[in-house]
Amino acid sequence: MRDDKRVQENDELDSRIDAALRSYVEPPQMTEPRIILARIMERAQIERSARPMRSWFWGAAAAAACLVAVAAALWLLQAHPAPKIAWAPAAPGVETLPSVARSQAPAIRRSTHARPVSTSREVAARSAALPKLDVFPTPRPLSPEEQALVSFAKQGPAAVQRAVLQDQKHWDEVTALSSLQMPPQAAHQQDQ
Amino acid sequence: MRPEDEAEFAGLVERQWPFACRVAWAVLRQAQDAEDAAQEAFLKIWRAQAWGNLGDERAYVARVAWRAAVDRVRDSSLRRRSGQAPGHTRHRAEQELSPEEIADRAQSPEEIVVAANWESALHRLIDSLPEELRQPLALSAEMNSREIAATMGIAEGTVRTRLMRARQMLREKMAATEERRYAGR
Repeated sequence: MRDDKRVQENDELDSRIDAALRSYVEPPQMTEPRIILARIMERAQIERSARPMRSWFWGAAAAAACLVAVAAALWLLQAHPAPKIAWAPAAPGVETLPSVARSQAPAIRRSTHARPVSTSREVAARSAALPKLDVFPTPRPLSPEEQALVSFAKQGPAAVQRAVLQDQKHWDEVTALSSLQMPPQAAHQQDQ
Repeated sequence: MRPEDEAEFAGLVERQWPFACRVAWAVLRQAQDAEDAAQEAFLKIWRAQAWGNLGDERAYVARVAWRAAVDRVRDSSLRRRSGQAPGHTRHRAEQELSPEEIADRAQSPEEIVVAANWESALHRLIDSLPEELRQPLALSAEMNSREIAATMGIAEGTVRTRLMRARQMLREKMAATEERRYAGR
């Protein structure tokens, strides 16, 4: 009996909830569909007209970015040119290949891998194959002082030239210390 | 676009506009926001040009409208969190109430019920439900459990459980209100 009453109460509450829900989801105001349709069409039209302009804008931006990148690359290349390697004549006795032969020679394929480490024997063999210089150390041009001395010797009076030559003969002689005569130091101190 | 397609889209808007508005209104509880969300939903359908081969156009419109409304709730919540002043009145879904405020809110409708204004009191009681229960309950006035599940992207069983819990909570609140009314006499 009590259960029946409870079920009846619940049913009554549920019917009230259902009625309230029906009005709960009803918006207080609603624009007419034809007005909404016009608004949607207008917005779609705006979007449609804006789309080509937007794509044009992005295309232009991409092209401008490419141009800037190319200009920057050119500027960098001009500002920092690659260092020119001075041409050095080959050492005497080393034959150079003629240009035609060089062009026909098989191209050396550079490996992307790390170069193998040379052994000391290989380095020694490589350096032995190189041409050796006749004079060591390499002769260098005279300095201005040395040139002045040479010109003075050439243009000076014959007596002076002779004296210089005479003196040069004794430059390599060993100085004999025993023949040196030195005055006694004590007598010298007494004088003072 | 062909004129026939435009006519077909116009027909879809004519048929489903009130329904889309009700779905958005059930989520947002703010008239202008609900209309904007429903309009946004139809604009999305227009962009996708998907109205030609819809299996169940009502379910499709419900899903798009519900998604647009939920996105709007999220956007306004983010705006509010980032400190921007909202341009419109706050709707229920984005309110973060303290327990005291919720108690006050629950108390206030009960007083209205005492004044025998059942319908508006029930609306307020529904508003005071947790969002995860309120949304399926509100949508249940328009759709069955399967449609609600498809719209909200949750399992049908979950929808049924939530509907049951929501109704149970409402019954308890209403019973408490009744008791109070009789005690007051």
